[in-house]
Amino acid sequence: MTSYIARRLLAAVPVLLLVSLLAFLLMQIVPGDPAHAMAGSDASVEEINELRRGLGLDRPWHLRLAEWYLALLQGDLGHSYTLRADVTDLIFERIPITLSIAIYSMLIAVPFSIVLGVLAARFRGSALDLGIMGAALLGVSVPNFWIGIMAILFFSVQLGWLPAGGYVPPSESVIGWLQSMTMPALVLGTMQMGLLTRITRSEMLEMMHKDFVRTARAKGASELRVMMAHALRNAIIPIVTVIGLLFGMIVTGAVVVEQVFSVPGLGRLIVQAILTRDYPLIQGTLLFVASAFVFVNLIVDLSYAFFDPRIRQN
Amino acid sequence: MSSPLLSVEGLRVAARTRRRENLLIEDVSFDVREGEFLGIVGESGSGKSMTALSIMGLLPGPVVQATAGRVLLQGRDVLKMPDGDLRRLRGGAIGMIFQDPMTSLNPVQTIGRQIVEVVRLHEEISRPAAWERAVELLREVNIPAPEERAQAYPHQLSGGMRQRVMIAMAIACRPRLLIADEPTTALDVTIQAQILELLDRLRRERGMAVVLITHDLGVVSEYADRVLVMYSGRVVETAPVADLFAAPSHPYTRGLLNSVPPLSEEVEELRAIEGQPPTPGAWPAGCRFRPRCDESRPACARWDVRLVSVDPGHSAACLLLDDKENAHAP
Ligand SMILES: Nc1ncnc2c1ncn2[C@@H]1O[C@H](COP(=O)(O)OP(=O)(O)OP(=O)(O)O)[C@@H](O)[C@H]1O
Ligand code: SF4
Ligand SMILES: [Mg+2]
Repeated sequence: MTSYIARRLLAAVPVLLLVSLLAFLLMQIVPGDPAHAMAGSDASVEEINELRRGLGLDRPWHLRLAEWYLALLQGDLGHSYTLRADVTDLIFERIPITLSIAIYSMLIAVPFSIVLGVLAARFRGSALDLGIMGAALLGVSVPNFWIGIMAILFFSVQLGWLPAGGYVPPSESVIGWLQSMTMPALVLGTMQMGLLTRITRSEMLEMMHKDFVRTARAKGASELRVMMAHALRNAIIPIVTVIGLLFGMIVTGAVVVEQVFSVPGLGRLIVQAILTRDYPLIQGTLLFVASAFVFVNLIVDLSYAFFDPRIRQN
Repeated sequence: MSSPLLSVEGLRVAARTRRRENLLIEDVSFDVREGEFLGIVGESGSGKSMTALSIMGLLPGPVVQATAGRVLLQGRDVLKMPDGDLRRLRGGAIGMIFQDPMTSLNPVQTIGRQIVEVVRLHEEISRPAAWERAVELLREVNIPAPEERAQAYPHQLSGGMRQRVMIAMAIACRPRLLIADEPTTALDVTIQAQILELLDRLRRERGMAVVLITHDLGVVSEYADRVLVMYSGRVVETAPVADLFAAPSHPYTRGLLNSVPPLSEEVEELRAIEGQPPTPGAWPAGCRFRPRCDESRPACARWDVRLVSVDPGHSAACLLLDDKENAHAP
């Protein structure tokens, strides 16, 4: 078990190095540089060159890359140009915010979509099924930002129930924190719910044709019991896989949602870093996101053993 | 004589699609007496499983449904039972085991738990007591070290062991009838014999009736009291085992018997019946066996052939046997 985890983590190292290399090279290709961004539009060429020298950007890119990797080995992600703080500190400041939106949205999305998916499968072809699947399709295909704007118009402008944006730390007010998180989490959860409902339904439909489900019926189990204790219990394995993938995709969603609701999370930090060409910050955040993805996938793979005795053995 | 345990009367099962309705079985009637061992034989697609599932009220609805007839178990019609009664019946008065023990058990539950489930579905009994019972049942079906095996998952057992577990589950609540749908097809030959011996022993010890669906006439001759031969969704012959083997009356049955290699002699000529059985919806008019029948005559295409009695307890559906045939014939 421990050796398995160690092997998996080791296997992730080349992937992470590649991700950061790609991020670095991409930034070299994209026009504009941090000196331009920092100096503003009416700065002279000399001023910009001066800034560039100060940041060390006048040196060849491969040298800078080597230095970055060297620092990384010592656990140092460098210093942000624009925010004048350690990249590591900046990331860890933002994680709790994005993570709580992510978890909040999962807490909404997972139970709802499993219930909806099971219902749709149970009453396949009925009006209920059509309704659920239609809504799920909308959830997947309508862009996050649009749902976000609609939610703001409805819940904050029209009803005045929830703040239109911003972030209240839980240390200040737990209620305020929950309120500020609710809409971002709902919007983020919408897309996940769409996907997860569809997956749950199709997995359930597949399970319902399995021989062991017929056995459960032959034992005299009620339809509810057949669905939950046998079909869903076995469908959980593929569903967990998708939950893991969705968790990875949340970062993408967070970029948009945090922008719409002006929540100072990791997503916004990434956008900000890219807009200002803050190389160390871009490198650091992307590396972190990739690591988180690897980590979540590892957790998902480990959870298979929990749900499936056939895997537990090997 | 007392009324039979199970009485199937004029059963018809159809598969409904939006555009058409295909009959899968038609006019199937037979009885099973208490403690009797009935063998059902017939080629693939002849409707054996559909017949068995009808008895359990387990037809794969809403597409496949019984559209006519009655299935009387101890006098009550299974086809008209409310859901609750039907659930009490399944796993209660009737147990069923299936062809593939690999896929018929829930892969994520221990076998002990799966047996406990059926016990607790039918009896007010505590979990530990039900577990005790599960271990006892595993012992009864000859599973070695039942205490430990109860903790095992299906994938940790061999195919034969899994089928024993299925049997333990099916007999857990002392059913009066056990339906076994090709229970040994997926198993090794040596294991097949053990499973059949086990079924036969349980039948004798518990006095329950067994309906065994099989392709293997050898098995039927060894264990069954009576045989039902099905072809294209119909019963074409039914007889006590000895009668059937001594005097098969339907050309199809004769074909089947000819295709069984003689037990003692070298296999010289294995005469399988030529051709394929027709699929539901493509049944020929008149006798459905006609396209493959050596003895067919023009009248076979015109008359719907009914079961006629040959001897007491022995009937077959062939025009050759019908006394009235000559009267009808042109
Ligand atoms: N779910 C279904 N919907 C429609 N038709 C079905 C369905 N299941 C089976 N059939 C058809 O019903 C007919 C009878 O099937 P059945 O399973 O009873 O045959 P069988 O005698 O048990 O054959 P086998 O020996 O292969 O098990 C077959 O022609 C089959 O194609
Ligand atoms: S009715 Fe005719 S075709 Fe059918 S089995 Fe008898 S002889 Fe053959
Ligand atoms: Mg079958």
